[in-house]
Amino acid sequence: MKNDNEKKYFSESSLLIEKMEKGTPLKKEIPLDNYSESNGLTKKVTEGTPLQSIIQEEDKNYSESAKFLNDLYKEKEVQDTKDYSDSADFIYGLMAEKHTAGLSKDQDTLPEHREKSQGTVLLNRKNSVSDKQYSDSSKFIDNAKREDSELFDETGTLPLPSQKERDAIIRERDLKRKALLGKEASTAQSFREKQPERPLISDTRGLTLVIKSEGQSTKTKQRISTVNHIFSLILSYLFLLVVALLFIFPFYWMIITSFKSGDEIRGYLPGLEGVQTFWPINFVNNYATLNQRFDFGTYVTNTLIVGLFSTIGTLFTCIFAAFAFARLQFKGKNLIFALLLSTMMIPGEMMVVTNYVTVSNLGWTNGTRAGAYIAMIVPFMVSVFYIYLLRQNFMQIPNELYLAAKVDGKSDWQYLWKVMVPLAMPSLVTIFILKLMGSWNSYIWPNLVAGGHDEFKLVSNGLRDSFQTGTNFDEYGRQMAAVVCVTVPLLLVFICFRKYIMRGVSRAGIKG
Amino acid sequence: MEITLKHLTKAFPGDAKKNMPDTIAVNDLNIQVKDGELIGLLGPSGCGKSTTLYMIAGLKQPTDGEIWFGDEEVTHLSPEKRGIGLVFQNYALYPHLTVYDNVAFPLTNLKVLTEEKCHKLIAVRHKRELLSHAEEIVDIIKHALYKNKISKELAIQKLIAKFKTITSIASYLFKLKLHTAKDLQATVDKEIESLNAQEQKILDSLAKKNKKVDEEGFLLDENGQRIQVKRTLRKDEIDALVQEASRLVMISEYLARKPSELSGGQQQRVAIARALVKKPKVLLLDEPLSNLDARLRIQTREEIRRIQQETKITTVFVTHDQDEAMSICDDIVVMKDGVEMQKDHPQAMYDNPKNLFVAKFLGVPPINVFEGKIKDHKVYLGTECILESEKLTEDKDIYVAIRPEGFLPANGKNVFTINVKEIITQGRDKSLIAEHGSMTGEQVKVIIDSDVKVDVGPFALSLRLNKVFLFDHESEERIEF
Amino acid sequence: MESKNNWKAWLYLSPVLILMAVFTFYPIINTIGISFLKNYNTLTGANDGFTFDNYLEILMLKPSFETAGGFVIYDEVFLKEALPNTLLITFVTVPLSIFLALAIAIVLNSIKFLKKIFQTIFFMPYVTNAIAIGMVFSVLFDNHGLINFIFNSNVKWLFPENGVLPNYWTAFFVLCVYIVWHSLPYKILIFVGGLQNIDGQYYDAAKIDGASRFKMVRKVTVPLLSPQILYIFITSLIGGFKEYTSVVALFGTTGGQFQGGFGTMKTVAYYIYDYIDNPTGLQFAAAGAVLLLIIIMFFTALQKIVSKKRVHY
Repeated sequence: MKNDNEKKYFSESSLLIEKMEKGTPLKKEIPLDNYSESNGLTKKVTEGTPLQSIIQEEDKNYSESAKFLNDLYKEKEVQDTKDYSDSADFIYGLMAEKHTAGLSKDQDTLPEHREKSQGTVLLNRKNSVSDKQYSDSSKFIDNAKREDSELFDETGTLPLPSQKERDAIIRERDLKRKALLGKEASTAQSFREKQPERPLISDTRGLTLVIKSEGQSTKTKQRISTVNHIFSLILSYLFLLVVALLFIFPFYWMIITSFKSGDEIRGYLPGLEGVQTFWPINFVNNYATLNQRFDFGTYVTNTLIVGLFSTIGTLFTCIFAAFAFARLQFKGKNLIFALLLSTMMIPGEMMVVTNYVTVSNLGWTNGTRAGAYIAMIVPFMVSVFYIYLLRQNFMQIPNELYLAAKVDGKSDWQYLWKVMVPLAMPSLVTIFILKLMGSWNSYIWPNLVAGGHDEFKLVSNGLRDSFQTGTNFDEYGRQMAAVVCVTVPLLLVFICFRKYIMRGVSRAGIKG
Repeated sequence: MEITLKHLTKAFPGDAKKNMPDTIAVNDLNIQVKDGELIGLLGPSGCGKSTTLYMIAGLKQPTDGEIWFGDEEVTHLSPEKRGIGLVFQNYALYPHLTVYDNVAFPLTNLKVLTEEKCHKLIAVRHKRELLSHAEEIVDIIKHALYKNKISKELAIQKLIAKFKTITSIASYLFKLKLHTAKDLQATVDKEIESLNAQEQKILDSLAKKNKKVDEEGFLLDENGQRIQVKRTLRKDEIDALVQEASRLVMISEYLARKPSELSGGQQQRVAIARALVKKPKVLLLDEPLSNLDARLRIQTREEIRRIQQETKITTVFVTHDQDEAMSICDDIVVMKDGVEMQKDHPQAMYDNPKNLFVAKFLGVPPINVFEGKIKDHKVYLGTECILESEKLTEDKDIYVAIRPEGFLPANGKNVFTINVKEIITQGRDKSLIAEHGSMTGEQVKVIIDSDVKVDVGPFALSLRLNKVFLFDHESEERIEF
Repeated sequence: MESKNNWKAWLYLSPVLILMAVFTFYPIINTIGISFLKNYNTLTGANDGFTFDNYLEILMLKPSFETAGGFVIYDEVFLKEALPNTLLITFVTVPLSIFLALAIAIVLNSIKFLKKIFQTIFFMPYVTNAIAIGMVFSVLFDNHGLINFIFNSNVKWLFPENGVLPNYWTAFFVLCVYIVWHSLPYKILIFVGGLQNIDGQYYDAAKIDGASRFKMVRKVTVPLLSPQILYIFITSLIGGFKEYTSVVALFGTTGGQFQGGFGTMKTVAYYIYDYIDNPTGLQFAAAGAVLLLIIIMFFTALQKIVSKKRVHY
């Protein structure tokens, strides 16, 4: 036997078998964890542990070969050794008296043998070829069969059984097993016949899977994939370019039209009848005359005042509420929050109906400027969406800071303004910008509550009121100029604060 | 399929602005993996093993070097054209598909090269053959109970397992309702008759179309040769392949579930099945066991070994657990900072580390490292000479590494004294926690037979020289003695 | 800890709660209430008692005006104009815009160079004033405008000319183009965000499994994006039902007049707002609003159900 180091090449079962054959009395304390589970079972069996006590529960602790052996000993009807490992097959083969002596050397090419473990195939061969193809136990057996003395350890104290002795041992084992079973070896035979081999319909050996492009040289494959890659890249950029142009075009048209004369817009220019120009031929300063039609100044003032106040108001209410929800504990917190969130589903139209009545009853629509302003600001000083957004942000600030502040004796108010607000500044900026933009773009509500005084209205209203749709081309120039005046500030804000805006808007989506 | 890596290098360019130097993740790797071998890439985090694996897979491009599969260079070939299967660390199972669909997914993108069969004919014959086992079928169906009612899915599963057939056939068998037939034999006979008639019809129509079949059901051309075709896979063929792969990894019972309904170990096996179902030439696994708990890890690595042995696919797998690598790999490649430290059989690497890193990396408990000196052909630890050899010609500082099991009770030869702090009895062995003046770590760990008498305090031991390794202090390379 | 904070918390919440009580909670209940009142007078609050008539009249189940001689007038606007318009608009623009947004987002996500610039450009329509841009569109589609010029056509898209009313369907086309143009940015943003959250490993795995680009989109990208797709789908549907500003932007405060189709482009929201101004019509607006609410609740519930079945997290 090879020295200790080499033992690692052989499975534990072989080691156990070796010990058994060395004559080591198994009853001596051999730690079980050195051997695989089957040996654990075998050991217990040979130790005389009554089978019934091990059999029931511990079946699953042992490998399939052990289970197989177990079943054998239990005299269970062994149905299908396919449920057990190949070694079981092999053992069965052995039991059917197809042990080593019986197997002829020429038979190793038979297809049935593929189904037996490698050990069997090895035993068939006269000379083992490549060790790697056989399991470790086979290697062990193989080594055991060799008569090269160098494979024995230095002390030569382990005489390995010769082939003859080996056969004898196996035969004895067979007899013992048969005695235990009391069965005919023919059982093995009939069992063999019952076992279905793989039916043709599910035989996948005949299927060779190929990649679609198989058969081409590597270079061709590479070239094709590079070409594909470039092609799709170009196509992608083209597509995006076209879309981008479509997106930008209205803006472009808006700007150049604002510099055109009515005639040019209509296509009444001499020599260019019916033609639309992509660049103004005559630059007309429609902006100068804008004020005649569109009282930009007034509307902007209104909008800015309303916008600023409602935004600041919103910020404050938001901060307070978000703080309460994020940091403070109170009864019914979750319930109220859920309630607030649910109102986001209600369409604004529901509220508008009543709010209009309320606002009228409060006298804000009585026709004063202040009243109109208040009517436009107050109902919209609260936004559940922004409360949600800010609460998220507040919750991300570690609670430890809060506790530390408490320990330092700071009140909630101080903590809120000195710690949380600065830390949540990005969100606050986002809210500020989005809310301001919202006021700039608002149309419906100001339209309703301006109390019959158009001059209180906001920018969008002004735009709509000042220019009726229709085919008044002289007006188009000025109309576009007005539109530019309304749009450009927004675009400027967007370009400067793009990150805040896009981040804030996308957070809405994540909630969904 | 052998894999050969030649001078494989992967460098990530640094950023001059941020003062980041170039990172060389993989540095001039030259490895050969023999066909059918299970090789492990072992190393600490960041040593480049995953990067190497991804380059073999084709998901990352090497900066330099070549990758060969057999005698085809695949260095710049895109991943799907390399014929590999990859098991991701996080499995990457498509969450919206069932296990069956997950495993079948690769097959929907492949074509098959096969000898064309007359599928209808084979199906009919197969059905008829199965019907001869009618009693068994009934028995199986009757035992396929879920909450005390016969479950169709369970019955089909068991039928597939028992007869190694495919879903459509098993479904057909179930639909025959043999288990509720009053007269089993009569029903079977009737069905067989009908199948015979079908078979005849098929043969007749074949004859009419002037097509020939051989006795097994393969179509023949005019010369009587089987016809080779290249086409997309039929549903049944996909089914057969999926069933086979599922059997291999033992997930046949879970085919109808979604990945989110499986445990980590089961998901792992589905990922393996998906990688293997297309019978790749190379199987790659990226830290497949790191997401499993300890017990499952041992079980699953044996599974991987078993599967690899059965399929004989060249396998490369990446791990940082030396236990894993040692237990199942044919060969291990230890890597550090993108460089190969040693490539060898596990046991050989344990017994014969080429450098200090490998010696320290393998082995639990870890090897004890001491500062030592060579002087006059002798190795000194502190003032004690622990060994002598003619081969030690140079006088220099070295590292002396001794395996915990490399100690014997003092027998006069190669004696060396340690200061025992703690004795832990573990039944078969004793563990000693000790200190020594030249130790480089926090403690010295010694494992000796429990029969040896030890007390706390200075204790003399002899060394098994085959467990002692010397390394140059500068290069950390092994010095033979 | 709990009780101590109680009053403070309520203090912090008070502004929000008060404002919401007045302008959100109360209105919800009140609006529902008004919708069941007969002849509600906005100014005085007087009414003639509980009735279902408002709903019945909107849905043309009861005439809104009846003479002794049997002459009846039905309130046709809601059922014959507002509702069909809204449904048509919604079921055309929503699938179209989702499909386009998805395509754009997927392509956008696959490129590296110039990505930021494209993202910015694609978001521009969102930050604009609806009325303002609507006007630009009406200039573009003017009878003598650019579109007619490019395609050398003489279609009267939006406005009457020489007493001839424009065709409903051409106007509808323009409205849809406008709505899609205006709604794409938000959708693209959400989709791109969702796409970025998909673990790259799924694509790697699909690549190794040999899937082609298209297959990857169909079998990996879209299913993994399904939470976002569903969210956008529902919110778009709901948004579609509330469509109002775009109509005002393109067609002015009259809602436009057209031949064919439904005669005008008024939507359900339009209907509601029209009635608000009317001192004797508020109850109809309320009823309309409640109907709108019901529709929206229906779709929200639908989302919850579908989400459980088909969306994968």
